[in-house]
Amino acid sequence: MLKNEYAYAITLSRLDGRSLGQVSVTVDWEPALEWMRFVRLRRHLPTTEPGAVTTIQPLWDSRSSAPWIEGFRVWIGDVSADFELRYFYGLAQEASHHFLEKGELIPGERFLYSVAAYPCQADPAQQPGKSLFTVEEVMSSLPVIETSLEAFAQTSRPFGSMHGEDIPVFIPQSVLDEATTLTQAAGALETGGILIGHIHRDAGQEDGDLFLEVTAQIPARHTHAELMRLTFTAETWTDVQAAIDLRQKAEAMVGWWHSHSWLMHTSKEEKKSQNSSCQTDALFLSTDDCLLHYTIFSRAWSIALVISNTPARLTWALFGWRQGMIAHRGFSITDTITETASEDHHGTT
Amino acid sequence: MELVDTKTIRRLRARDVSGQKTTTINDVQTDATVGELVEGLLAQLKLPHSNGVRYHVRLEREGRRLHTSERIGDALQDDDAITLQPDIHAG
Repeated sequence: MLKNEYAYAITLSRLDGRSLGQVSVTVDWEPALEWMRFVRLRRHLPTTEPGAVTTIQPLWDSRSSAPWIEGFRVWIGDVSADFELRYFYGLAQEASHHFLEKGELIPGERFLYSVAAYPCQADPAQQPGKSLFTVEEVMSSLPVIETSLEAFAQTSRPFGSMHGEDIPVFIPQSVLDEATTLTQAAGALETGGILIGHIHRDAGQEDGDLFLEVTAQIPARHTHAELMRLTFTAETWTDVQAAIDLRQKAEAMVGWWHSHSWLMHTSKEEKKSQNSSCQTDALFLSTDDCLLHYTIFSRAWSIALVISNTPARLTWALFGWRQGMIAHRGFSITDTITETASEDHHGTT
Repeated sequence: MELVDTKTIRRLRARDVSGQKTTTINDVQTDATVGELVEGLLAQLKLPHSNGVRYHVRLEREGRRLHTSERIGDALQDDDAITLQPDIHAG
């Protein structure tokens, strides 16, 4: 049961502080809730507890006080985590469209935003509706393999900047090479694939954390590839699942990869300012990329690899979930794929 | 003579393409369409269904895609497994 006693609104202001106005917003809490479930899982706790209430509380701004917030806190049972104001960045961008239409903002103009929380009767999202069926339960489980993290670390090298809240991710060089080859073969067209692998828990520590192992990439076939768009179709997913089933290694879809061509780079700044709602810095995920990641890979351990192919060089960037937002993150490159899938299966997520 | 309730399908299993979200649903109205079933499942599985994402339903038993206009009672049986497959863009 979700307990949320506040309605949220975003106030936009010009850079000089002049207020443009306030827009009520419907917040999608699911990424934050998923992150909380992941936090619990990493701490060896069940993702939910029978009868436990999930609560969302505003964190009042220490300088301005209520109704202005500097973030929010989510509780599941007796475990909580705080989320930053950046969680509302996408909603602020959507709110800006209102002022763009009125001509009070011009395209590309930067603005400030603040978030307010007002007490309300009940969360509108909780209102029940008519249904064609009854639900037994919504389940999503993934086997967790007890493995030594050190064994992976000893045969890997870091790539990119690591963040303390991220679980380690290990990607074999061979997987990167395959994706690179496919990207180069595709030329100016976008291409992509699905990353498959396993979730592990470090058996070398008493309270071992989770880590992710990518074991293979499945090229995305039956796609519609264009210069700046790649469409995954129903046939793509059927084909990927068939490939996974054929491998018989109990692998799960843990993420995806796709390429950005030099044309994407040329229009990068324009796309970033107009469309991107992701909290990324370097190689970016577009709005479409973020929607795909949210739609298909919403579990907090899921990853997205972007391969940037320009005349100057070919580079990689990895993205993953962090505090309910998609963030640029580091990973480790391994030289070999470990053969641990068939042994020591223990527990589920 | 035994009366059989043919107005509902007792149980269906549904999942998204990644397998990260699965659910079991009961007492599915057979007079409804596959399209109406999808709408309900998208909400239940918290899958976005705006911004140009179109979902198809794959019936695993037959390995075919169901049409949204098909009647649930004609297309599905007890304990069938279906997968929601989106046409979705990256770019």
